[in-house]
Amino acid sequence: MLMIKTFTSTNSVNHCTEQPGLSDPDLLESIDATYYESIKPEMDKLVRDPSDETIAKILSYSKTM
Amino acid sequence: MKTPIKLQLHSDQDLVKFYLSGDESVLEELLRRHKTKIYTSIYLLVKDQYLAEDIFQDAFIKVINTLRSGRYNEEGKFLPWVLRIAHNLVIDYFRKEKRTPVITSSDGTDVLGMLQILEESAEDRLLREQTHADLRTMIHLLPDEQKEVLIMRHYADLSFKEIADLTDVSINTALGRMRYALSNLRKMMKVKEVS
Repeated sequence: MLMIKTFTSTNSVNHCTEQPGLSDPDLLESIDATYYESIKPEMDKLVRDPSDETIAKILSYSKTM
Repeated sequence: MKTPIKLQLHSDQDLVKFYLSGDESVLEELLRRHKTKIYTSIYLLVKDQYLAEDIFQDAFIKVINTLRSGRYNEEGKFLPWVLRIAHNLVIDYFRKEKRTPVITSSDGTDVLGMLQILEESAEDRLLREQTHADLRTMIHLLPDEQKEVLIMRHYADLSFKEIADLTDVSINTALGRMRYALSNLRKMMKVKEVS
């Protein structure tokens, strides 16, 4: 599958620099914004928190300073 | 010492001032306020929970050391500053990974490469075994610079100006990378739907 990129990638996946097919920048922006809104709920499910142990270590370090 | 509820009413800049004046409790509030954004950003870049924990911890140790040494720039925003520290630590990690020496066996096999495959984390194994069906995999497949902007924009809630400053590019470049990231995600989603 062809991916759009603007710079040389350090990934092993081979990406091409093909431009998007749409020529109207406003249309592209509106599609991007609409698409982004549609995937936001799924992206929000990927959030993570550090462990309590890590937080405790940071707080402990601060107290020793 | 201020009560936790009252601490929530203060800005990050105020909390930093309180911390520097000796109020340890504010660090807990700063962590509570920003830990999800910072940790998620690190985690999605390095793809390993334990590594992300280490980098997160190292970032805040640097934060504490800089604050204590009086080198913190009060005009800057706290969250972008911490994210820049974390971002640099992630870059340092990837640079060290690339410098990992290669030891080859008599048949030319990269021994250390094989060890890395055998020692892959449980999360890497899950990702490898899954189809290209879930969003996290697709984000990981994005070119690094696009993945970085997407993560900083969505999870760290940085402005494009802040992202541009953090990654040392122009705002237009940051915007372009975000647009290409979304376009590539959309393409991968279509491939998934077709398959």
